[in-house]
Amino acid sequence: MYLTAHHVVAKTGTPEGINAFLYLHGVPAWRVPPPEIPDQNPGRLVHRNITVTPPGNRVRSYLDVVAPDDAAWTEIRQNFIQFVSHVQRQPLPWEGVVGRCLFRFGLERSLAPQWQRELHQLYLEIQAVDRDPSARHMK
Amino acid sequence: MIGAAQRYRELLVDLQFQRATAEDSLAQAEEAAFAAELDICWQSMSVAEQEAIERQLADGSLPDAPAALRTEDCAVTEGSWCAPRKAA
Repeated sequence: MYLTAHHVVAKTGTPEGINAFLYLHGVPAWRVPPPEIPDQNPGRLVHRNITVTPPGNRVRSYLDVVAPDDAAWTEIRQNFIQFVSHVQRQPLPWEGVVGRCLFRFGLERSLAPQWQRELHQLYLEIQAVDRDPSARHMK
Repeated sequence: MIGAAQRYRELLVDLQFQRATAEDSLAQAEEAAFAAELDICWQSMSVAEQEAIERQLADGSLPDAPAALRTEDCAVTEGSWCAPRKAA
Protein backbone atom coordinates (compact mmCIF):
# COMPACT_ATOMS: atom_id res chain seq x y z
CA MET A 1 0.00 0.00 0.00
CA TYR A 2 1.22 3.44 -0.88
CA LEU A 3 -0.43 6.48 0.66
CA THR A 4 0.64 9.92 -0.38
CA ALA A 5 -0.55 13.47 0.19
CA HIS A 6 0.67 16.53 -1.71
CA HIS A 7 0.28 20.16 -0.76
CA VAL A 8 0.03 21.70 -4.21
CA VAL A 9 -0.47 25.09 -5.75
CA ALA A 10 -1.57 25.84 -9.29
CA LYS A 11 1.03 27.46 -11.54
CA THR A 12 -1.03 30.65 -11.49
CA GLY A 13 -0.70 30.83 -7.67
CA THR A 14 -4.27 29.79 -6.91
CA PRO A 15 -5.95 27.54 -6.00
CA GLU A 16 -3.89 25.79 -3.33
CA GLY A 17 -4.73 22.67 -1.35
CA ILE A 18 -3.94 19.07 -0.50
CA ASN A 19 -4.50 16.07 -2.78
CA ALA A 20 -4.24 12.55 -1.41
CA PHE A 21 -3.94 9.15 -3.07
CA LEU A 22 -4.29 5.52 -1.97
CA TYR A 23 -2.57 2.78 -3.99
CA LEU A 24 -2.78 -0.92 -3.23
CA HIS A 25 -0.40 -3.70 -4.22
CA GLY A 26 -2.34 -6.85 -3.36
CA VAL A 27 0.51 -7.89 -1.10
CA PRO A 28 -1.06 -8.17 2.34
CA ALA A 29 2.12 -8.47 4.39
CA TRP A 30 5.87 -8.00 4.31
CA ARG A 31 8.61 -7.67 6.91
CA VAL A 32 10.32 -4.71 5.28
CA PRO A 33 8.99 -2.46 2.51
CA PRO A 34 10.03 -3.67 -0.98
CA PRO A 35 12.59 -1.21 -2.40
CA GLU A 36 10.69 -0.76 -5.68
CA ILE A 37 7.69 0.76 -3.85
CA PRO A 38 6.74 3.51 -4.48
CA ASP A 39 9.10 4.90 -7.14
CA GLN A 40 9.21 1.96 -9.57
CA ASN A 41 5.91 0.44 -8.49
CA PRO A 42 3.41 2.84 -6.92
CA GLY A 43 0.67 0.19 -7.07
CA ARG A 44 -2.87 0.46 -8.38
CA LEU A 45 -4.67 3.68 -7.56
CA VAL A 46 -7.90 2.82 -5.77
CA HIS A 47 -8.95 6.12 -4.25
CA ARG A 48 -8.03 9.80 -4.34
CA ASN A 49 -9.19 13.01 -2.70
CA ILE A 50 -8.60 15.95 -5.02
CA THR A 51 -8.92 19.60 -4.03
CA VAL A 52 -6.70 21.08 -6.78
CA THR A 53 -7.11 19.29 -10.08
CA PRO A 54 -3.84 17.85 -11.50
CA PRO A 55 -1.72 17.89 -13.60
CA GLY A 56 1.04 20.47 -13.49
CA ASN A 57 0.54 21.85 -10.00
CA ARG A 58 3.70 22.67 -8.07
CA VAL A 59 4.24 20.39 -5.06
CA ARG A 60 5.08 22.45 -1.96
CA SER A 61 5.20 19.49 0.44
CA TYR A 62 4.47 15.78 0.46
CA LEU A 63 4.14 12.84 2.81
CA ASP A 64 4.59 9.28 1.55
CA VAL A 65 3.71 6.19 3.57
CA VAL A 66 4.41 2.68 2.31
CA ALA A 67 2.91 -0.11 4.41
CA PRO A 68 1.53 -3.61 3.85
CA ASP A 69 -2.06 -3.69 2.64
CA ASP A 70 -3.05 -5.29 5.95
CA ALA A 71 -1.41 -2.63 8.15
CA ALA A 72 -3.66 -1.11 10.81
CA TRP A 73 -3.53 2.61 11.55
CA THR A 74 -2.35 1.91 15.09
CA GLU A 75 0.79 0.29 13.62
CA ILE A 76 1.30 3.05 11.05
CA ARG A 77 0.87 5.78 13.66
CA GLN A 78 3.24 4.18 16.15
CA ASN A 79 5.92 3.81 13.47
CA PHE A 80 5.26 7.33 12.18
CA ILE A 81 5.81 8.87 15.63
CA GLN A 82 9.06 6.92 15.95
CA PHE A 83 10.14 8.07 12.50
CA VAL A 84 9.51 11.77 13.24
CA SER A 85 11.25 11.60 16.62
CA HIS A 86 14.34 10.14 14.94
CA VAL A 87 14.63 12.49 11.97
CA GLN A 88 13.30 15.83 13.14
CA ARG A 89 16.74 17.42 13.65
CA GLN A 90 17.95 16.41 10.20
CA PRO A 91 17.81 18.42 6.97
CA LEU A 92 14.76 17.77 4.81
CA PRO A 93 13.66 15.72 2.93
CA TRP A 94 13.30 12.98 5.52
CA GLU A 95 13.14 9.31 4.66
CA GLY A 96 13.22 6.23 6.83
CA VAL A 97 11.96 2.73 7.43
CA VAL A 98 10.40 1.90 10.79
CA GLY A 99 9.02 -1.59 11.25
CA ARG A 100 7.07 -2.57 8.15
CA CYS A 101 6.61 1.03 6.99
CA LEU A 102 8.55 3.49 4.84
CA PHE A 103 8.02 7.22 5.41
CA ARG A 104 9.12 10.20 3.32
CA PHE A 105 8.45 13.85 4.02
CA GLY A 106 9.62 16.86 2.08
CA LEU A 107 8.69 20.50 1.96
CA GLU A 108 9.96 23.73 0.49
CA ARG A 109 11.86 26.16 2.68
CA SER A 110 9.07 28.70 2.93
CA LEU A 111 6.99 26.13 4.83
CA ALA A 112 9.78 25.15 7.25
CA PRO A 113 8.57 27.45 10.08
CA GLN A 114 5.32 25.47 10.24
CA TRP A 115 6.70 22.03 9.38
CA GLN A 116 4.87 20.34 12.25
CA ARG A 117 1.48 21.69 11.22
CA GLU A 118 2.22 20.83 7.60
CA LEU A 119 3.20 17.26 8.46
CA HIS A 120 0.14 16.85 10.64
CA GLN A 121 -2.21 18.12 7.90
CA LEU A 122 -0.69 15.73 5.35
CA TYR A 123 -0.99 12.86 7.81
CA LEU A 124 -4.68 13.60 8.37
CA GLU A 125 -5.23 13.65 4.60
CA ILE A 126 -3.64 10.25 4.02
CA GLN A 127 -5.76 8.86 6.84
CA ALA A 128 -8.86 10.33 5.23
CA VAL A 129 -8.14 8.91 1.79
CA ASP A 130 -7.91 5.42 3.32
CA ARG A 131 -11.58 5.72 4.24
CA ASP A 132 -12.33 2.00 4.65
CA PRO A 133 -9.19 0.12 5.78
CA SER A 134 -11.11 -3.10 6.41
CA ALA A 135 -12.07 -3.28 2.72
CA ARG A 136 -8.58 -2.78 1.28
CA HIS A 137 -8.30 -6.45 0.30
CA MET A 138 -11.53 -6.23 -1.72
CA LYS A 139 -10.52 -3.24 -3.82
CA MET B 1 14.64 2.32 32.04
CA ILE B 2 16.21 1.38 28.73
CA GLY B 3 15.34 3.75 25.91
CA ALA B 4 13.90 6.42 28.20
CA ALA B 5 15.38 9.28 26.18
CA GLN B 6 14.03 7.92 22.91
CA ARG B 7 10.64 7.31 24.50
CA TYR B 8 10.68 10.89 25.84
CA ARG B 9 11.27 12.23 22.31
CA GLU B 10 8.49 10.05 20.91
CA LEU B 11 6.10 11.28 23.58
CA LEU B 12 6.89 14.90 22.70
CA VAL B 13 6.13 14.24 19.02
CA ASP B 14 2.96 12.36 19.91
CA LEU B 15 1.85 15.17 22.23
CA GLN B 16 2.39 17.78 19.50
CA PHE B 17 0.29 15.72 17.10
CA GLN B 18 -2.45 15.12 19.66
CA ARG B 19 -2.58 18.86 20.38
CA ALA B 20 -2.75 19.65 16.67
CA THR B 21 -5.57 17.14 16.19
CA ALA B 22 -7.44 18.72 19.10
CA GLU B 23 -6.70 22.20 17.68
CA ASP B 24 -4.67 23.09 20.78
CA SER B 25 -7.48 22.17 23.18
CA LEU B 26 -6.37 18.73 24.31
CA ALA B 27 -8.37 17.50 27.29
CA GLN B 28 -6.73 18.13 30.65
CA ALA B 29 -6.79 14.42 31.48
CA GLU B 30 -4.87 13.61 28.29
CA GLU B 31 -2.34 16.36 28.95
CA ALA B 32 -1.91 14.97 32.46
CA ALA B 33 -1.37 11.44 31.15
CA PHE B 34 1.37 12.68 28.84
CA ALA B 35 2.93 14.73 31.64
CA ALA B 36 3.01 11.70 33.95
CA GLU B 37 4.70 9.48 31.38
CA LEU B 38 7.15 12.23 30.40
CA ASP B 39 8.05 12.61 34.06
CA ILE B 40 8.70 8.87 34.45
CA CYS B 41 10.98 8.92 31.41
CA TRP B 42 12.76 12.06 32.63
CA GLN B 43 13.51 10.52 36.01
CA SER B 44 14.85 7.40 34.29
CA MET B 45 17.32 9.27 32.09
CA SER B 46 20.95 9.90 32.82
CA VAL B 47 22.06 13.49 33.42
CA ALA B 48 23.74 13.49 30.00
CA GLU B 49 20.51 12.41 28.34
CA GLN B 50 18.54 15.08 30.18
CA GLU B 51 21.03 17.73 29.13
CA ALA B 52 20.88 16.57 25.51
CA ILE B 53 17.10 16.89 25.49
CA GLU B 54 17.24 20.29 27.19
CA ARG B 55 19.65 21.48 24.50
CA GLN B 56 17.35 20.10 21.82
CA LEU B 57 14.30 21.84 23.29
CA ALA B 58 16.18 25.13 23.65
CA ASP B 59 17.37 25.01 20.05
CA GLY B 60 14.73 26.87 18.10
CA SER B 61 16.38 26.35 14.73
CA LEU B 62 14.26 25.04 11.88
CA PRO B 63 15.09 21.95 9.83
CA ASP B 64 16.97 22.88 6.69
CA ALA B 65 14.87 22.47 3.56
CA PRO B 66 15.40 23.08 -0.17
CA ALA B 67 14.12 26.36 -1.59
CA ALA B 68 11.83 24.42 -3.93
CA LEU B 69 11.00 20.75 -4.43
CA ARG B 70 11.05 21.04 -8.25
CA THR B 71 8.22 18.53 -8.39
CA GLU B 72 4.76 18.68 -9.94
CA ASP B 73 1.71 16.48 -9.77
CA CYS B 74 0.35 14.21 -12.51
CA ALA B 75 -3.12 13.34 -13.69
CA VAL B 76 -3.86 9.81 -12.46
CA THR B 77 -7.13 7.92 -12.70
CA GLU B 78 -8.42 5.24 -10.37
CA GLY B 79 -7.34 1.82 -11.59
CA SER B 80 -4.10 3.11 -13.14
CA TRP B 81 -0.58 2.18 -12.03
CA CYS B 82 0.97 5.64 -12.51
CA ALA B 83 2.80 7.69 -9.90
CA PRO B 84 1.02 10.88 -8.81
CA ARG B 85 4.01 13.22 -9.02
CA LYS B 86 7.20 13.68 -11.04
CA ALA B 87 10.23 15.93 -11.27
CA ALA B 88 9.29 19.25 -12.85
